[in-house]
Amino acid sequence: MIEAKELSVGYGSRVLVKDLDLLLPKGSVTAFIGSNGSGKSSLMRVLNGLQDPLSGKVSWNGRPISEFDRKEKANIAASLYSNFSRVEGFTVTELVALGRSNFTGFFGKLSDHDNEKIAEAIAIVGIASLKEKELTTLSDGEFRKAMLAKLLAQDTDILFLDEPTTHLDLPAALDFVQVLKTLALKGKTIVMSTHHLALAFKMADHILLLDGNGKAAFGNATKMMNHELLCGFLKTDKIRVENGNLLFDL
Amino acid sequence: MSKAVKWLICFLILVVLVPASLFLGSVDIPFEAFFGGGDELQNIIIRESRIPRTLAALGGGAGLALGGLFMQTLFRNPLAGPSVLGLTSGSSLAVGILTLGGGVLATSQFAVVSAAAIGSIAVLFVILAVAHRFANIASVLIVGRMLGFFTSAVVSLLQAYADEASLKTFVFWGFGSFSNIAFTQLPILLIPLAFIFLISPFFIKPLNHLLPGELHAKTMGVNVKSLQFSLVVATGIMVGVITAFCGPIAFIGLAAPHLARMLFSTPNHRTVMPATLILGGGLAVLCDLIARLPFSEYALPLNTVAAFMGAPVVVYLVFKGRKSRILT
Repeated sequence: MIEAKELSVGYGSRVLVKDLDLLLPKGSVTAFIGSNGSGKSSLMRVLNGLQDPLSGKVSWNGRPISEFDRKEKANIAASLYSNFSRVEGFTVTELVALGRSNFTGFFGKLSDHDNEKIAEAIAIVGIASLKEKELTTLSDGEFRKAMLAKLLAQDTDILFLDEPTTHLDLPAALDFVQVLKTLALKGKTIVMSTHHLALAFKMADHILLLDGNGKAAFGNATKMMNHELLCGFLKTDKIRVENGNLLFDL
Repeated sequence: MSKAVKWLICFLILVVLVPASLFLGSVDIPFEAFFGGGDELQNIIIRESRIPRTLAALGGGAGLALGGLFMQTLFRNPLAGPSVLGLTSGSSLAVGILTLGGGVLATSQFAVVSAAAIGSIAVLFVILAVAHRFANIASVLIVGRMLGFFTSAVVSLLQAYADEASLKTFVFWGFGSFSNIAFTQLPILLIPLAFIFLISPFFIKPLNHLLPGELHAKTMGVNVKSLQFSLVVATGIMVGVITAFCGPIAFIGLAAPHLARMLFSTPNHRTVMPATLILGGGLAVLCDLIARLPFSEYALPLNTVAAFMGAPVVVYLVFKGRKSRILT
């Protein structure tokens, strides 16, 4: 469970998110939606404990995030950011093994249990056939899945995913989202940012809309599928909602 | 080739090169001389020249290589070496000021070693201040490079007005050599290096987390700022102490980590770090062995040999050795 109280996020005098209250229950999927620069990634970093808020508090499982040390945070929340590089010479298995790092000893030697967790993570994401492949030979979709497997090997309650479907073609994005949905059913709390409106409304339990000027709207996906809300926050008049479906006027 | 065979190759390199370094030189030393069977002159050569020289090359090469590995991973730049911090430039400037403008002091080896150490340490403090002040590690790289340009300019100026004898002393120091260290001075070189080698396994996991990027390391619970600071200090100490006794030695620190990644086909520091130490030490002993031209009365500058061997290796790696690179 992730909770934010009166949270303000920004840089210096620029406030992107102001006095936001959030409660993201265990096993839920939440999608952050907003234009470029609206503060999706910054808010995610603050909720992730990687960036300090301008004001307000964040807690995980009822405990203030400021009370966790770095290692504890990494054992509770795993993160995927779009600027993670593909390490040349690393295979998929070696990448996924990085997720077990906080459980290994001094030299990073993997135990049998670690190897089982790695194999399990690779199987859940459905990339067993790629496990010996080098990261540089993977497509974007395959690489994102390999990163997701690394996050699963980390064995955390929370997953933060910053624009995980960007640059993926539709089948790869659908595939990826399907895996996320399965993980949420297994109790993982998933927070993701995306520009993919249709996918977000299809998979998320909660939607957070951001306008980049401090304003935010948060609610369950059904309630948030609203023409005025979406057009207002995304600064467009080309989105329509009819019978619970998203339509685009082009 | 299995991993075990690759490790065997690494150890065989040392098993062949270290005895060769002890036995071969302008004076050949028979095997039995190492077990008390030599004459007085041979014993002096073994104790005062061959053993210090071989240990300096082993330790110095391993230290430069480890520093190179730290810098390549830290800056995520395959062409970074231990010299990127500008420490060798600091040594060059201090030795340049001493030898090219120091008059009588210039003849003392102790003075040259001290000047090199002071130059390195002075630059290290500048680098640490920059690392402490700026969040971006690239700033450290830029300051290191700029210090290098600045000190080169000052050294060129000093050279332009120096007399022939002073110029010769400075140029000889710049050649680099593992032969200038006495047996009694070895602990000053080897103890700091041994200490850093012993603590280096602490860096294995954090360095692996740096491979996909700084942000990745942060999400895995690594204190990136503290790691950067520790790596800069460790590299600074190693380069400072090696440059003080052996002069500015090029290429070994740059090439050895690439050789290790290429041999083991992985950038994983759990494998690459020990391999880099072994290959760095081996490469330095090999360069030193070639530089002393066994069976002849002549010797080559160490940096000339290192560049002849190192430059083609680096060029080969850039074009062919994809696995040796750490960036996509």
